[in-house]
Amino acid sequence: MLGPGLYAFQFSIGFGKVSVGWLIMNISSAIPAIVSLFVYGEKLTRLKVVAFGLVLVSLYLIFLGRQAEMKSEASSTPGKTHLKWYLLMLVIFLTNGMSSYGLKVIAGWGLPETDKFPYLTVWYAAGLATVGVPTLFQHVRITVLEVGWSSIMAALSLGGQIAMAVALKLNVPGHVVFPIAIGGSVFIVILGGRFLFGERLNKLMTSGVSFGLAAIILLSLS
Amino acid sequence: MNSGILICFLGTLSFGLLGCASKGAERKHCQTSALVIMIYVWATLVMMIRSAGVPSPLSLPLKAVAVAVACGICSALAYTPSNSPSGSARYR
Repeated sequence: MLGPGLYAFQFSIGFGKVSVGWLIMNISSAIPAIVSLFVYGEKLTRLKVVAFGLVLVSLYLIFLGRQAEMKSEASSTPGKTHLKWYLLMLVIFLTNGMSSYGLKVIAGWGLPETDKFPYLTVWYAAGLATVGVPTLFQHVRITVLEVGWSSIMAALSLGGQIAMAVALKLNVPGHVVFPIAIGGSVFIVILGGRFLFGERLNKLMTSGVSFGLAAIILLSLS
Repeated sequence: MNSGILICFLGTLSFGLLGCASKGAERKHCQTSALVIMIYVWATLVMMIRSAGVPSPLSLPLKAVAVAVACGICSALAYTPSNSPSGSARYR
């Protein structure tokens, strides 16, 4: 979950809905599924076709919903903010799913399972260097606030991953674990957005999120 | 199986709260750049500790290192465009 889309996601929630951003992060698993069709010659099953269709419907409805929001907020929100939001959603959609694709690539090479951890160490270190160096020159100060919140987020991410791994070890099938964990988290974020942060989704956005939720469940089953 | 399902739901809760914590951090006016760097730091640290536990942590083939570096840099690029002076901080 601490993938690349998180950064674009973290920026986007400054001027967008957390539930929509979170949905786009999770729906982005459609991209590696599509790439795998061509790279690995994976079979295009009916389930995948339906899931891809739902992703498109969801994105279209979210786009329309945002357009409707733009009209109602036209006077109070700069147009550049809306454009930036669309771009960030695009970045999240295209990059978040593909970020984990490297794991599939190295798995395809037949490397041992234990190589996953050194691989991820290099992956995060490369990202840290790329993000950290420019930020260093901007003299950004890291305060206790950021250290505290980032540690909470890291602990929650780690907790989620450990829980999924333990559930799988306790013989809960993957087709049960992944839809519950991923689809369920979107549902919790929707509830959190509404009741903790007072975010209201218009009808189009709600429909888009519902279709997206269905797509995520189907993608995790396929 | 039943305890497995329960643990699975704990995972759901954990991931869901992660999304909510992101918004919470934003509402508390955390600097996005600093927050993102610290998340990278924690993730790198955890993975380094986990890697130290595997039998041969330094045996990753060069081609896998190249993929990791490329994907890691791509992940950072997802962040960079928004880090311009006209980034999200202006709209808070």
